[in-house]
Amino acid sequence: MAAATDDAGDSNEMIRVVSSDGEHFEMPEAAANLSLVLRHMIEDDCADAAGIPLAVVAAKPLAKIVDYCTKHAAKSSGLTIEEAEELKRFDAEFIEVDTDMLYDLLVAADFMGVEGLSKLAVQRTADLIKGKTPEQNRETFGIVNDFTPEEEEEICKENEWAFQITKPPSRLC
Amino acid sequence: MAMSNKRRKILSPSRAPELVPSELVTEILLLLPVKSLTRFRAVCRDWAALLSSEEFVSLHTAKVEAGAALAPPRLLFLTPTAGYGSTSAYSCSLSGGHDTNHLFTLDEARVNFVDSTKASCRGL
Repeated sequence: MAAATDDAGDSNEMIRVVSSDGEHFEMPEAAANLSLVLRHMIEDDCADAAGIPLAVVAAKPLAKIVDYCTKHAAKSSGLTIEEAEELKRFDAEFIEVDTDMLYDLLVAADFMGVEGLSKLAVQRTADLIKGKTPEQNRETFGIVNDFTPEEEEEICKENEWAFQITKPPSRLC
Repeated sequence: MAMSNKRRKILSPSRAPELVPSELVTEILLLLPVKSLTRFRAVCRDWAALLSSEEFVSLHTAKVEAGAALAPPRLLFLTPTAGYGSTSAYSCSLSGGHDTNHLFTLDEARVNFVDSTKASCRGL
């Protein structure tokens, strides 16, 4: 974890966090500060050797989040164009995950208050569902269809144009 | 932390996707194009109500306008269909290329009766 300590802000201290399933992780303080929740805990002196317990974030997404924060904290200020591009590429690769992990990241980043990651996960989810049918969305979000078949048909009929999704949706509509 | 109780429930060990908090669902939906949103009114009553709500429409319009300021302009053109009885609307980029999109066709409406408005018509 030495990679991020060179220009990671004013403190080289490592912050420990513990996942809901008991795994320990370490990241530089500047990385932890990217999480609103962790920053508040650090400010309140809750960061000790035992680690900050994150009772609702499992090890798998937490490992990813620690990676994300470490990378972003190391490159937070005075970015050159190349570095900004590299960070963009990192983000693009970082969010190429399966849907289970995407939902974990979506919820965990929101919970931990990691704004950049939260935005990234929200955008990725939007890209994934954009071309889907209502039924596929119900599956994705675990929603029960509470329309009567007649009501559903009426909505489809009223907005027939929107249900033609054989070609990729255009940018204007 | 007042927020943790609510969140804790949402993040319970059962990992069903329905546990995505509703404010996140709204954020995701705000990024979608109108066509997807119109289609997603058929998902359930909650989504239909959300997607037609004044608040959501305003937020979405603001997002689209902010995005439009960055995107290159496109040309909108209307043309009668082969039988002259209807009107089709297309959009294309100003820089040429082959990206003309058919937007919609108005049945039984002739082109000289079709007027366009630049402002959002709250059609979302």
